[in-house]
Amino acid sequence: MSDLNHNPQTGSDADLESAFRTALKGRAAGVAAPGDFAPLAIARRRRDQRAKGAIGAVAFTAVLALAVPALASGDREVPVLPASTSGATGSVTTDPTPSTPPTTPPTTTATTTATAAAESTKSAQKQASSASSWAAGDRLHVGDRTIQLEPGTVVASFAVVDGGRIILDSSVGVDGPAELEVLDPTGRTLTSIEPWERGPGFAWSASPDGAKLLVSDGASLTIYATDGRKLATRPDARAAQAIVGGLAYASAPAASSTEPSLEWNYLTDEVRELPPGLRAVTQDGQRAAGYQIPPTKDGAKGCWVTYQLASPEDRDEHCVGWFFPMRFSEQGTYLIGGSSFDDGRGGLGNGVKNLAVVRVSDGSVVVGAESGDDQLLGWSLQVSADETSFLVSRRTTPLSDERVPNNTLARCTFDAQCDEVAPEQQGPRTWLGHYTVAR
Amino acid sequence: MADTDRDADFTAYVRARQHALSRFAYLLTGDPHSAEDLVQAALAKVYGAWDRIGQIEAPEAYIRRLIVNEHTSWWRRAWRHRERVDSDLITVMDPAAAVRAEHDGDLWAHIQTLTPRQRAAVVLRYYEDLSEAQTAEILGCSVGTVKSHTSRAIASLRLKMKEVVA
Repeated sequence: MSDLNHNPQTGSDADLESAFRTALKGRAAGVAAPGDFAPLAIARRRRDQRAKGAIGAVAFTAVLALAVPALASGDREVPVLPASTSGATGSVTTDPTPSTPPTTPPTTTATTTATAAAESTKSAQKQASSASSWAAGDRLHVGDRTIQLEPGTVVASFAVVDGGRIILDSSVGVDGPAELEVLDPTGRTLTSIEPWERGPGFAWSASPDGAKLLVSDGASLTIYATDGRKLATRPDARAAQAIVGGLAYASAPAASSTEPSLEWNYLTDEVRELPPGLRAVTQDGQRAAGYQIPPTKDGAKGCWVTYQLASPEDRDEHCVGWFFPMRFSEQGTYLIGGSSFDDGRGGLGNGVKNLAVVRVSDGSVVVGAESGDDQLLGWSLQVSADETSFLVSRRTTPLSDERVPNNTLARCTFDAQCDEVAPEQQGPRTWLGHYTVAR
Repeated sequence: MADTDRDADFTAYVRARQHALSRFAYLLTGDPHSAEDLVQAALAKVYGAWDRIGQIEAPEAYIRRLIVNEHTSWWRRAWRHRERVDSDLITVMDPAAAVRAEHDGDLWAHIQTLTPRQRAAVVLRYYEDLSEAQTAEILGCSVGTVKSHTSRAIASLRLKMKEVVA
């Protein structure tokens, strides 16, 4: 190319072709392949085949399985997290939560309740993995594994489900096209859900056992097996909120909507209306939580509610206007939420939130506050499977600071003892964090 | 074919061709880890169909097509997920240690800005020295499309050179 540089504007095609040849052959000359590809390729092929088989088996088992739900309803007294956990210390550590071995396959029945019970038991494995997983920039940390995504990937939300598969909502760059995918445990894409965007009505929720994915796109609700098979679809503008067993739950995206929420049995196509604002369902499929703005009150002041799905009229109401529920903890003892209504994109939305955890039994706030010293600012939070601690992506610079925020990842007990899991980093843009905790 | 014979046959083929395939994949991807993942992904597919592919007199073109298509599919998906590859099946000599002029580094950087199909066409034409017809066969397109890919690559290089000089 040096000879071309003498006269770049008139370099002939032949000269440029020659330049390509020289550069390519020169580069290739430096490449060596000293390893042995064959056994790895054979192993990869066999693993891929096993993964395909396992996905089918999981989906089948989820429909027919029965197990006793292992609910241990804790009602522990835990103090409010103090003003700030910024005093968190400790070196960067890898996840301390060990993986839970797979449960024994349960025996069979075909009722929706039984399926939910099976999912509840199986979800212990899922939650253990999800509770110990986070994204740091363009890398996923899943247990003791690190998965490198495309450089520049921004993770909006993700979940680690049964069998180690990953549901990932992400984009390359902040403004890149969003993509919702199911990855195998190594990070390879099994299927991509389309269409997928970021906007009102677009939301996803994985079943507790990870076998099914409920997706909404603002016009329809669709249930996928996580191998990509479309199981059922229904024209409906409501946003996906939860799927447990054969029952899918959806509600209007807007917090102020009075449109009834939906329970859809996708196996029979029967539907039932539920109170507006449903946002979460326990993993045993028994209880729901939501947000309601009483029509007779000031729209700025709402209440979060929980109720038994079997009798929605009997509800517990807690009128703490700033708390918007998003999901239950593993055993249903706590509700995770925040100051801003979840937009369904995961975490608590892309923007920083005032995070909180409330106890379902009495409505008390155990982590976070509307304002003041107990306020916990961050992007995402997950309570551990045993409900003794939580992993949080925290904002460590005040909201008044309009520069790119600093962000740490910490694991905290409910008595405010925190260990830093990953060091402080800056987010990719002013409102984004570097770390995203798995759902 | 018995599994052991099949594995032995496949292994022998891979060992004979892995250097060439790795270089090809490296030129397409621009980094050794992606190249390794690409070669592994393609060879895993080849292994799955080895009973058929192994009977082809010259499976090389077929495998290169697999590699090109796999690489293109990564990009068509807007971005790709890669397995984290920590082994060193592919090594690349430190460019600083290689006998290489600085302007070749610039040209290499330019090649990496080409679209995957343009880059594949350039690599097949100017590294593998394949004819336009052979390149078209691997890319699964017409000869005219190959000409279009390479002429655009050359045009963009010429433009780049003008910018550098300006």
